[in-house]
Amino acid sequence: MFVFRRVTFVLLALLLGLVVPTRAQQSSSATANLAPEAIEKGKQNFVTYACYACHGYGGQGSDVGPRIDTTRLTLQGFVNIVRKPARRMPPFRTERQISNAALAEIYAFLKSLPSPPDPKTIPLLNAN
Amino acid sequence: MHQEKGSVDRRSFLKAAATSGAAFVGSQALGAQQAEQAATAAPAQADAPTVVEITNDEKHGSDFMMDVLKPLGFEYVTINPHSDSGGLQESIINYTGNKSPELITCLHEEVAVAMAHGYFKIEGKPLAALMYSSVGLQHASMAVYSAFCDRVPVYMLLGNRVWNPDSRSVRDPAGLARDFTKWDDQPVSLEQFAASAVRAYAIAMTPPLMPVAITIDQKLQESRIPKGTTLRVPKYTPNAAPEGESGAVTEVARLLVNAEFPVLAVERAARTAAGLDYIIELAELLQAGVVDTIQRMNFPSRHPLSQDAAVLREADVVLALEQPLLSRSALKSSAKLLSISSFDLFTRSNYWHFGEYQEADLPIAADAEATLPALIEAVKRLITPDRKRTFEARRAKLAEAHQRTRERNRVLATHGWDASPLSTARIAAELWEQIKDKDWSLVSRSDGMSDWAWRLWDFKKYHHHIGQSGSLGIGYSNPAAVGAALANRKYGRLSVNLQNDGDFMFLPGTLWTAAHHQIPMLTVMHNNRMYNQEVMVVARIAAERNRDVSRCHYGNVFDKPFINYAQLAKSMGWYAEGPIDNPRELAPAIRRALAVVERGEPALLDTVTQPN
Repeated sequence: MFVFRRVTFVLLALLLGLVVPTRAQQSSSATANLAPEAIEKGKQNFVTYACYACHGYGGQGSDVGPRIDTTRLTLQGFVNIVRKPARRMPPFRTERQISNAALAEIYAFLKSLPSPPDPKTIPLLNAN
Repeated sequence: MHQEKGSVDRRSFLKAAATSGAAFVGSQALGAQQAEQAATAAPAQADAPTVVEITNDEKHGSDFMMDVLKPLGFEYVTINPHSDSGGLQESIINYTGNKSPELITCLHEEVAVAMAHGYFKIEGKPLAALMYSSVGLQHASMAVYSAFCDRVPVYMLLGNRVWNPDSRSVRDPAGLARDFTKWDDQPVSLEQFAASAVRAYAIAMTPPLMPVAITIDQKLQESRIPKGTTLRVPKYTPNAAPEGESGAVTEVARLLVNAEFPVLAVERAARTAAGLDYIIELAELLQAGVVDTIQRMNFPSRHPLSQDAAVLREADVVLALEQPLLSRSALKSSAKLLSISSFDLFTRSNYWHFGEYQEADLPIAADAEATLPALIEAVKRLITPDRKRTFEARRAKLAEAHQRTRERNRVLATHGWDASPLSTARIAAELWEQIKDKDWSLVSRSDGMSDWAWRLWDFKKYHHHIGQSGSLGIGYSNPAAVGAALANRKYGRLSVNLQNDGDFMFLPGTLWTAAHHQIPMLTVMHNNRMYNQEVMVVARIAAERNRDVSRCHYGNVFDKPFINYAQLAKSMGWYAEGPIDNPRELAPAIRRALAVVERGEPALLDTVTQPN
């Protein structure tokens, strides 16, 4: 059974630049703090581990998976959900399936994504 | 016993067609009220000449077959040609002039049947599909199954050699599809053909509507009919559709009117545009929420009473209209489940399309659309001013919920708005902007692309949507869309097909048929380069087994090489653009493609999309 190791994650978070896991971090200045290599690896992992199949390539969600591009979870919370999901999501229980490091990279990728635009600014979504 | 008879005299035939055939054209399965109107409107049917004299030696069996088939009103016969039905094919071409019916050339029998499937869902009457009884029906079988599950009549004509079999003949050709057809026959005489052909049509068009098959013997088609022979063309009059028993209907009305929070659950309830109107009327009378699985254009997408499925959990009374698979587990335990469905009036036992037994408190085995007028009248009689006030309060609550859903969808659509590959919400929104002021028709499933078309477009007319596929069989959508577009053509409607790439590659030859017969339509590819549903399935199973999820793409992805759908479409005579993966290129490409469609040609946009 997976046991979350806080120390490991703190180290990983520091390594990846994930020091301010808040909504504000999604701004471009906060994104700049994230290690670009980690973000790129996270983007690749997102495809390799088929996260995109339900959540879309940019985490925007679909009819089968919720949007996660604006996740407010901490890294630890994110890993907890992936290891022991509550709903229909398949459980990635162990590091044999996906390592903590790979998960942290995915988290970095998600945190690097820009906030979606306000629907009021998109004319197509305000037409009849 | 084989009896070869003489041919039908053309003058006699034309007289018969003029007085009787026209009255049959366009007839649909009728409720009692509709049947009464039809009988009043078309008294000529009763006097239709049904006996014709053969006055020369120039007529052949297949000519008489056309004398029988033509009055049934087939606009087209979809065909993949073969030697054993060459006689009938020649009669269609030269005896009846390739007009009503006109041959539609298909490059695969599955296309021929699936086109008929899509055509019916717009036009409300069947096409005939002419194919080889052995390998032809084998090719067509999945499409037949889809039509069966979707309760759509397809009229199949199977060429065979009954009297002089060869190595490709079949003793019981329709047996292959008997698990998913409603009726079949293999007539061995022209008299039997005439009776069976008309009977097959009547059976196919009586709810529950389903495919039928008539085998046509090669020798029977090609033999001359001796002069002096008298043959009879049976009169076709539509069956009145089965209506619910009046006492049970009154009880349903009582339960609905007295309910605190009734919900209508609709699936294949609206067979025709009238059905759509009935459901709207019933919902508005009761101010009841409507939950739609959208297997038909049952209810307007933006109607304030249109609700998410979650509302079923709040209902104390649920009326399922042609939704025989609605499970009690979707409702709260104290809820009463009422059901009106023709499903139990005919089914087969081999395929589990029938699902689990529905534990309804008041099940009525009848056609929902035919029963709705009586139900509406019963509801009207029972509504008191007091109840009406309660209903109005309910409407306000439901309208708010509907508006919240619309707002939520608007916000969800923004996620990935500028993404590449393209967001399916963006594709739906860009399309809507350019079609919303036209007479449009979505001729594909709406449950692909994360339902975005249904979530963003204003579906309100019956032809706005043909519903889903029935069997979920891959390969249905492309030819069904072309069939529906064929039906839309004479009305000048803009047919739009949101086309999954996996489905598309089963029957790409469908494109040729659309180009050859100048069927205007816009196909927009949902090109995610994979069977994404299966990616998710294998990922889930691997995860649950604590195995390597990263290998879930094996067998499910077709991205190396990328299939160039635009090149493929161009090779078969379509206007095409793509691949398009930049969202900014989408609107101009749609504009150019629509200009092509509006001048009567098919156009395809290969849009590279998100998985869902």
